[in-house]
Amino acid sequence: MDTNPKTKTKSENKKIKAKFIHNHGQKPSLIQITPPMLSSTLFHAYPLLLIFDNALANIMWLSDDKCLPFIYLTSIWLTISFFIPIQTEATSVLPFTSLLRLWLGIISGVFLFSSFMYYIVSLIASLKDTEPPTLDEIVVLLESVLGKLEVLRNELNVWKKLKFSFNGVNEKCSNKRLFSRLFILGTICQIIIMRFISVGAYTRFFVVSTLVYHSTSFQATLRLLWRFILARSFYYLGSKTFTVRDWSSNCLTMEQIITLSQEATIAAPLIEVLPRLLHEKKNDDHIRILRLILSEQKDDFQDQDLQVLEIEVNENQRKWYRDKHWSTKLLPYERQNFSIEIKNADGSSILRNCLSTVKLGEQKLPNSWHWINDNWERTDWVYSDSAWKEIGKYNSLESCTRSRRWKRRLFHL
Amino acid sequence: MSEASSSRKGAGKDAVRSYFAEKYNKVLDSILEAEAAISRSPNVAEDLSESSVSGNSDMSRPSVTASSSTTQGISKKELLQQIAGSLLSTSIERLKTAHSPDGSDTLEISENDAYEKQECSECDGPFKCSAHFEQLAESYDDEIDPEPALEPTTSNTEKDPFIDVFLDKLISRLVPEKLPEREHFGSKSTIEHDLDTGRVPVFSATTLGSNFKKLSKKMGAIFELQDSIIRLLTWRNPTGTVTSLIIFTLICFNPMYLVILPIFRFIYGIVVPGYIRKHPLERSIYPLKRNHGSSLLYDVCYEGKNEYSYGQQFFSKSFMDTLESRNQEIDEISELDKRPENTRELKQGMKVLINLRDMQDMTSCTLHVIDAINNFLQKASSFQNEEHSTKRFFAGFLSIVILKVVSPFVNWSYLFSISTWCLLIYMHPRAHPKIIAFFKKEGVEKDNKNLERKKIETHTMIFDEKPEVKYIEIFEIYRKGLLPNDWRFFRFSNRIFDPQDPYRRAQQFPPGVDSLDDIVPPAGWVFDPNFEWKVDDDVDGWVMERGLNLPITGEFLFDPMFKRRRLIHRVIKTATPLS
Repeated sequence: MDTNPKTKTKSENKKIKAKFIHNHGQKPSLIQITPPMLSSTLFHAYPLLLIFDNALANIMWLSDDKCLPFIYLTSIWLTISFFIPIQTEATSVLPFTSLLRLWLGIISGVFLFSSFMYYIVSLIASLKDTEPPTLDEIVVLLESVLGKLEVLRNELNVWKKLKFSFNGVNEKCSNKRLFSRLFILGTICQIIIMRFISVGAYTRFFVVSTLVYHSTSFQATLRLLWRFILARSFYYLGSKTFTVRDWSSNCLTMEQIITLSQEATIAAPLIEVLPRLLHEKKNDDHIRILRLILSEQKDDFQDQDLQVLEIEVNENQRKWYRDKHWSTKLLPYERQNFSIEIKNADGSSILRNCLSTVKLGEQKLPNSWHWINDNWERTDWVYSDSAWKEIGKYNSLESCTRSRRWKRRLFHL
Repeated sequence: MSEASSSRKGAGKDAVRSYFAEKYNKVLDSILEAEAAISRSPNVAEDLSESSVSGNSDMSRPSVTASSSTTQGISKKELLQQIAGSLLSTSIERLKTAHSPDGSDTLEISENDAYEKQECSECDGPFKCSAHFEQLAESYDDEIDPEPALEPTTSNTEKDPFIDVFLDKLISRLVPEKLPEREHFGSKSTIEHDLDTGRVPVFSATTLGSNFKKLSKKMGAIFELQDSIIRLLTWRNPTGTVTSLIIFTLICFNPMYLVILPIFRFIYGIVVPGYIRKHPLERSIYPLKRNHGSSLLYDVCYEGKNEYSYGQQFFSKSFMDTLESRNQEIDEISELDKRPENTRELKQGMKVLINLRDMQDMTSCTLHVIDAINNFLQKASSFQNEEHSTKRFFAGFLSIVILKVVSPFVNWSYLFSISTWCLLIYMHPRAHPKIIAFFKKEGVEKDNKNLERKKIETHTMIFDEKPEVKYIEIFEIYRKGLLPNDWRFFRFSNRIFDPQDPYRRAQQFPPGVDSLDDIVPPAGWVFDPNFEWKVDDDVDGWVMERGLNLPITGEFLFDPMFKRRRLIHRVIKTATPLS
């Protein structure tokens, strides 16, 4: 071993590049750990697995030749037309057109069936000719099938995706709300569609969109469209109309906040609290508070309770573009620049918009409420992803939103 | 090539030069230059192929230095430049001789045929024959030979000039013999198969050159067509413009005109005039000497000098032509003798030159267009600027949807014909500035509004997709001290540094650093600031993946000299792609 110190100092100033962790590493030999029963079952299921894998690949449009799935799609379309004809005005349909449609439907149905049969026959023939598959081959195929199924499941799990709620305090919106949202929106869409489109066209549209849904292009289109606020607003339209009360455009004022968060006040005996309250204060405040208390309560305040209320306002910001600055403008359907968490009677809490801390501070307080602190205390920014799921204290490429808390206390006699 | 052969070549060069001093001096010079350049490096093609494989750009090879002392400093680039230069000069000389007006060349050569043979027998070596060959070839030049060989690959060796053969040989040495089909350019496996079967057309400079030459003569019609289209679009021929607009409208409303009109054109543009030429109609029309009044359409639409008088427009050009041709036919025979030879030649040369210029313009224009298209496509597709690309995607998507929905309700015939009329009226040189001035007044106000709106509506899109996240690993290696439990920190490395590690076998330090700050993420990735370096507790996992069979204690993997643990960190892919 070369232990020359010079070489060590030479390499000290260098920087090294770390390597990715690759999950697909070398695996222990499968033959040793797989029981023979399982191996033989897998071996027998191999052709089925191959067919299944190919079917999945076709659904996901994974083959190099994109024309083949398209031809199949057209054949399926024509076959459906055979069963559910396009409703057109009877006068305009020539006998030739309907004959042609029937013929095309039959031909494409036959084509689909025979190409499927041919594939199976050719698969079995080629399996007979070649060597039997090794266990590794079977497992790799199995993994590929599983991987594809996983992708399909992720893409199909719209429910989970849609459950992301941007406005609530909870990370996800409730199933009930989502269901009603989808129900209302879906029904409206269906009515509109059924009004203008025949049953046949609707079925074809549905089948084609399901067949296309898992293609890369379609998924990318969905993602790109999701970038537009217009598309998102359309989706959240349902939620917005449902909860007008929560998202009425006017922001909560100081008075409303106090009435709404009345229950969160802490009552404390004045005798105990007053020294502490005064201890924190500067001279001016000291006198002012005492004077206030005296003016309010002319009797002795031995058995009086002091009600203390801590108001916690969230300031929220969003990054609209990855490389650009933080903006005070937020998505129309989510929490706005300043929000406050209001506790409901049943213990759940809801976020509501309020005025900015500056404006809240300027507002006149309702009767006999007084600020304890002179200014708002604020915390550091906490960064979170687009759905307000917390990430950490540092701004990174992942973070799309951030929020910090402004705290100030009030008291009431 | 040895010293002797080059000296022999020198002798040959002198002999031939003295003989061809007058006419072929320049041609010969360029050939000899090229030949000399080749002789300096006998294995140009081999060298090129070798350098492409090994990446060795150094030209000073022992074999080359032996052949000639002057080549010591010549790099491959210079050599290629020389060859290219000489090839260019050769071709220019060729062009000059091909179009030189004096046709006495061939005569002289045939007269001196006997003398030349004598001369040739004196000089030995390969060059004599090629010089000989060149003269023979010159006599088969295109201007004299009305039908040059269509397939030079077959009749090359006998008919084509020496230079062509020479160029062919030279280039065939430079390029691989068989080129793959364009379709198979991407996939490597099929190329070899195709090369084996030998179905691939061979690249030949002669064919290319002759094709270009023929093309440059025959492209005239195409360029005239192009020019006439431009004239129509710029209203330099107003009646033509209006006529073509009417024809376009007809086609818009009934596509059958696409078939009808060419037939019509064939009948009345070619067949009928032919008939008239053969069987002239005995209609005596006397054109007036002076014409008065003018056409409204011409006066309104014509841009530039009004060259045509009223009367001339009434007689269509073809009619005038037929009239003229009738007169000409009589004169032609008598005039043929009087006409000087040079004018025809000059006209021909000029035509070729103009065609060449147009071809050059066309190619550069094509390049510009291709560049612009590529630029646009790249901008639209690369998502370098996410906002722009997304907007383009949305615009395209929206237009597909709208067009699909709207198309049954729109009369496309009206739309296309009216928009074409509007467009051409807009393009009229005199109307254009007026229209622009008219729209500019409204445009300014609109711009102001748009600017205001832009300030408000910047938030129409949001880019909040989750970036790609991966984990990276680094190994914290400790070294054994003298005592059994004495481990000292060795370094952070991206190698596991087990006994099988090549660095360890070579008894070297693994690449590594002493501090975690010196570790950089892979290119295009950044460390997640909300994540600290973390020790990987699942030691079995990473040990098993690597197939190592070493003892594990806690989070460390041990071997007799070192122990190491794996640290992991989260990295995020940067938004801007690496160019």
